[in-house]
Amino acid sequence: MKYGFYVILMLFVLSSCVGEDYPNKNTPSDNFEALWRIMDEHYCFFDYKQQRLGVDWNEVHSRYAAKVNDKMDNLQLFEVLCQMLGELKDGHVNLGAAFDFGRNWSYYEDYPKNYNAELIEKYLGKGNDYQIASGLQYRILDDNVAYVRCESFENGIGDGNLSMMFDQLKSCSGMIVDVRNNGGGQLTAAHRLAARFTNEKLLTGYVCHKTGKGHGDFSSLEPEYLEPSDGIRWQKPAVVLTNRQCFSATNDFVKCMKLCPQVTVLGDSTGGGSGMPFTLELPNGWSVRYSAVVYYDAQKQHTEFGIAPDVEVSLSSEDVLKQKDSLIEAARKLLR
Amino acid sequence: MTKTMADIFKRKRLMATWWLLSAFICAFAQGTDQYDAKSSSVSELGVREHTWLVGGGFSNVLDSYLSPYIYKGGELRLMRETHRLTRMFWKENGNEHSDGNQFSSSSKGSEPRVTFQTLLDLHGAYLDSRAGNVHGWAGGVRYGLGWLYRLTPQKPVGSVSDGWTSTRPQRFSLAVGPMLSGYLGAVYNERNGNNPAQAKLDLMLDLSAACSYRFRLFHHPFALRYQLTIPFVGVAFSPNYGQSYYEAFSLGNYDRNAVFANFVNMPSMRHLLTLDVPLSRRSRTALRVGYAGEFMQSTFNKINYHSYSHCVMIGFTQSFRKL
Repeated sequence: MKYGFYVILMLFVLSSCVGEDYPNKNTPSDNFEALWRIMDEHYCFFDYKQQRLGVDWNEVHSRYAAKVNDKMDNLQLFEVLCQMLGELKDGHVNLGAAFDFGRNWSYYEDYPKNYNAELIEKYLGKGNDYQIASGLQYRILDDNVAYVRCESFENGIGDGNLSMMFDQLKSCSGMIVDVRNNGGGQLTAAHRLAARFTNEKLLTGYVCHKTGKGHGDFSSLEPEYLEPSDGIRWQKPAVVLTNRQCFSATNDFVKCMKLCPQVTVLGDSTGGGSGMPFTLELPNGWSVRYSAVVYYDAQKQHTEFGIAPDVEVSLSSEDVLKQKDSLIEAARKLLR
Repeated sequence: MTKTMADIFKRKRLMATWWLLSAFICAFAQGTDQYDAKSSSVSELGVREHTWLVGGGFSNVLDSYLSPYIYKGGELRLMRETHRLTRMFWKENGNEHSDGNQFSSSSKGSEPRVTFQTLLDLHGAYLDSRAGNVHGWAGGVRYGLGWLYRLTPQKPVGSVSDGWTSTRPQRFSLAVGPMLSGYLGAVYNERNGNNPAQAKLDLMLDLSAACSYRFRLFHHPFALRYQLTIPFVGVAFSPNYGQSYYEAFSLGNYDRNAVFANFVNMPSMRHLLTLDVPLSRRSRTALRVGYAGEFMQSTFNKINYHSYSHCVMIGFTQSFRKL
């Protein structure tokens, strides 16, 4: 039996199969079970959501399983699955099908908008009144305050673009960074912009991820820092304008900016979304997006439901009638 | 019935074709014999065998970091192998045969037994999800260095090079040995946002077993060869269960990303079954056709992965004499 070892090894390997271990039939019940399990084993906020919203995921299963049967059509199933995911009130939890995108956007839909696109256009002006660098729209207002409109972090922001913009605005007495309705994008882009407002390395928060299928299986908290940029940094007062639609990477941007010296956050609370979303899928091909990685603030607190501003200001209807943006006007007063 | 001129010409053409074909077959058969005679007369230690194989087939990939479900698709594969007999574990006793071959004795230790093997294996697959609405890619490159120790004694009974442990005639050979292999690859899912791809990296000590069998069929020599390789122990890269690559590589928060891999958490194997047919009189070249089957599996940090690949391969193997 001098070849016995090889034979045993081969038999062991042959008998070991790593395969799918989720329900895999394309039936409503299997799709439901697969979705429930994907969330159960991967979603990172169950303990927090139970604490804040009273969500018991096992109870959710029993409640929604009763609504699913194999005679349902896709639209009916989609509706039930979206309702189930909606229990988590997480803007990063979505169900994607060819005919619809399931979401719970109550983080901003249930609140005042504090945003009027027409008013912002009035401040920016027309044609070449304002400049655009790497997606950032900016101009110098009448009172020598720089106004920078950042409506997304989806596309990267170049360091060279930022340096050119800050160079253009260096004579201003202060800066308004308007990130209202910015739904997020790349964390690196958000941090690259925030890095222009600090001269020192800042502890901005902590990050951890799931290490197993249990609701409490997490890695240790690892600190996250904001390093000052090597390029031109803003040394004067700045105001960040926020509303409930500041979500995800923008929420993280506001978290960082709040720690920067000479920066004031003004407006409404952000929308939150402090989990980095991952994507998986169901047997029928629908995509499932869920929060997978947890970002805490510097006090190790969740920012999943938003960050409160330093100065709370709402967009008043009187100001709108006067073609004035209450938040921008309040920021200009702060910076004068 | 009278024969027309057309019939006569047709018959002559058929006869000419038949003779040409017969002459070609005879030349081919004679060529293979001469090829064998030559190969048995050279020192085996100076001979290197190089093989290039290309092929296509099917791939079946699961990576639970990207999707809980299997993706399937077509695959292309390119392999390059070299074999060279070494002096490892060889006790030279100075018996030089009259035909110039100093390795004629069949006694243990009097002939070289270890073949050094190198393997370069590139593959790429285009995959579809089970629902057909998402595509993915998988691919990588493996490089391996192996040492195969021949267990069977040499018996000069055949007439064709077996092309891997020796250029000596031998009907059946069995060899085993270790292989050091490294793999670098990736699986990509076109739909996912923050978890779009999974890097695959491992450095393994594999156990390999190979056998070859030579036979004649219709006066033509063939060599059948099979090699099984099982990753045994090593180290592999894996993100942790819910860890993002942003954490690992942008923030530097490593978390059990270097995993101790072994045949329990990485029960995998690679098969290569080939058939050699010598081609010509002097080129020392053989046509090689075969099957490459790769069954790679792992469960690292509770992330399930498998890549099952079946490819039909074709190529050439050539023997070179080192000057």
